[in-house]
Amino acid sequence: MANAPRKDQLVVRFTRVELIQHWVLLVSLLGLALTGLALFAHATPLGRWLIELEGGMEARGLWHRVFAVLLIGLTVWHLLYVLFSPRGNEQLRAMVPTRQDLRDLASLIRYYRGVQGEPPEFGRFSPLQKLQYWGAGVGSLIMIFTGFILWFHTEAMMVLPKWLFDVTAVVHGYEGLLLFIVLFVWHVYMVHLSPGHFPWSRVFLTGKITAEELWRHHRAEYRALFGDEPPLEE
Amino acid sequence: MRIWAQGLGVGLLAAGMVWAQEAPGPEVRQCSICHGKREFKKVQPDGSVRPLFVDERELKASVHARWHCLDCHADIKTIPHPERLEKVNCQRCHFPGNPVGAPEEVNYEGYVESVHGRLQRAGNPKAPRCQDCHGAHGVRKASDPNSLVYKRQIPATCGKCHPQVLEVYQRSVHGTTLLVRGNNDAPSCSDCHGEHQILPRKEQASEVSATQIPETCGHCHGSLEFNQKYDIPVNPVKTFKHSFHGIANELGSMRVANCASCHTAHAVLPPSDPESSVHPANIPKTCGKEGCHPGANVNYARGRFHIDPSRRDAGVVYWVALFFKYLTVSTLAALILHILLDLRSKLQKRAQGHE
Repeated sequence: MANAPRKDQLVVRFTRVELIQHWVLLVSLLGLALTGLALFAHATPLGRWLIELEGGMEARGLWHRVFAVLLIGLTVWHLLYVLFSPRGNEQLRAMVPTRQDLRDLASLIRYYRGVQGEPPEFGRFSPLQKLQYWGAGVGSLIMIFTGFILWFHTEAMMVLPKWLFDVTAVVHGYEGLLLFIVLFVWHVYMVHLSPGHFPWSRVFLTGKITAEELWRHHRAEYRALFGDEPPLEE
Repeated sequence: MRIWAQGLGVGLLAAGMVWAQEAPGPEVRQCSICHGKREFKKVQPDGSVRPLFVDERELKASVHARWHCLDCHADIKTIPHPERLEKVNCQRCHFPGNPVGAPEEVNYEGYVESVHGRLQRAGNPKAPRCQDCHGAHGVRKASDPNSLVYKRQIPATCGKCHPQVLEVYQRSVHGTTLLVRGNNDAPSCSDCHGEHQILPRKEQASEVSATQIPETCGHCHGSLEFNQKYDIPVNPVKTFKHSFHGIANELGSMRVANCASCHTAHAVLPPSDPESSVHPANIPKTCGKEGCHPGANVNYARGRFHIDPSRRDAGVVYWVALFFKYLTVSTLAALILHILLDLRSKLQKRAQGHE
């Protein structure tokens, strides 16, 4: 263990099952965003163009539901995975927010302000990554819940007053927009576009991270794996 | 083009007639020998009575005061004239470039393509011609309160053939406002259906087709000022266009609710009126129409309609939308700040590394 790895040595970060889950999530959220935000932006030429592209209002709604079913299926799969498979459960535990995350966040702010020379040493998941995971997770559940009410509105309105239905529609629209911003702007920046990853990181394709990237971005995890020696040149 | 050419042909004829006024032919006085008598009438074979009295004063008070009987009833050559005469053709004078100064801006094309024109061409004897709406001998300008096509007279004029619609309309807020209160802000028939180019509502181009209705109602209800003047607190056309119904409607869905689906076409009444289709007690029935939301119950009436989430009077919807707006803006601000800080520190570090 104490032997420092070479810089380009690959370490498994995500298993194949996790990569597939990520792909399904990516496709379903992209589909939902395109068909959903088209409706959100119906008054703009872009929104109108998207709706036309999606085959008009009713076809758009159908596609939205197809991607929704995909997301629901994935959510069920993911929940079973993180609750009942040993590997998944281990990942879930690593995702639980801790006091250390708060300290790391404070440290990160000090580092950004220039008060502190070195960034905090993150573990397997940095506090911002945890925030994104839980944000996306809770957000997806809200979207699924409100989406079901909108989908089965005739049935839902048997018990819901109209004003609550209107609230549901507003929540579904804005929460969707929020989710889109967090994942397709923030997450994409952090994973692909930020210096050090730019133009893109291949971890989401291969599931493997280099020892050097691990040292730079998840140093606490690196230390647990390889000890305190930085990776070796060649 | 066809109509124009027709018009021209007829026009030349008319011009000939006008210039040949001095030519021998019966004079008005001669017509009034019979038609000037109030009791002059004909009993039809089916027993009904057709009055044949023409009030000369009516003609004299009309825009056609300077014309004589034969200028329009051009097929009369002798007296007594044959029993069956041709219907008067207004295009004898009313065509572009006519030499007698008759108004030219007549929408014949619109009429010919309209549902009335089509029925007329198909030989339906009940289909209205010009004179059925504008009057035969008493044609007056539309701005003249005694004109058959004056705004407040139009419902009665159309009602001659559409009595059931007239009855419903008269009880609506539009009908009472226009006819009882005499307020010309309220629409008469033609304000919604158009004048000459009236089309069946099933046709997309119709002013009252499912997809055109919001635009048509919006002529009046499209501005907040107008609505507030009549105690409607929101711009209902705007809020409709942002609702799910409105978006689908705008994108051509014929299935989704338009203004008239809920408010009805002719029996429009304010929601405070128990007779109104949008009175809270009637909402379940209105929303539950076949093809809409079958099984709709009182829940459909528990909440506001035509809500604009960006306005305070939307109630809880406003507050939830406001919360999400702040949440979205602050999230966006936080992540942009993070991206900028991250970029700065990483680029600084990179610059130092290269030194």
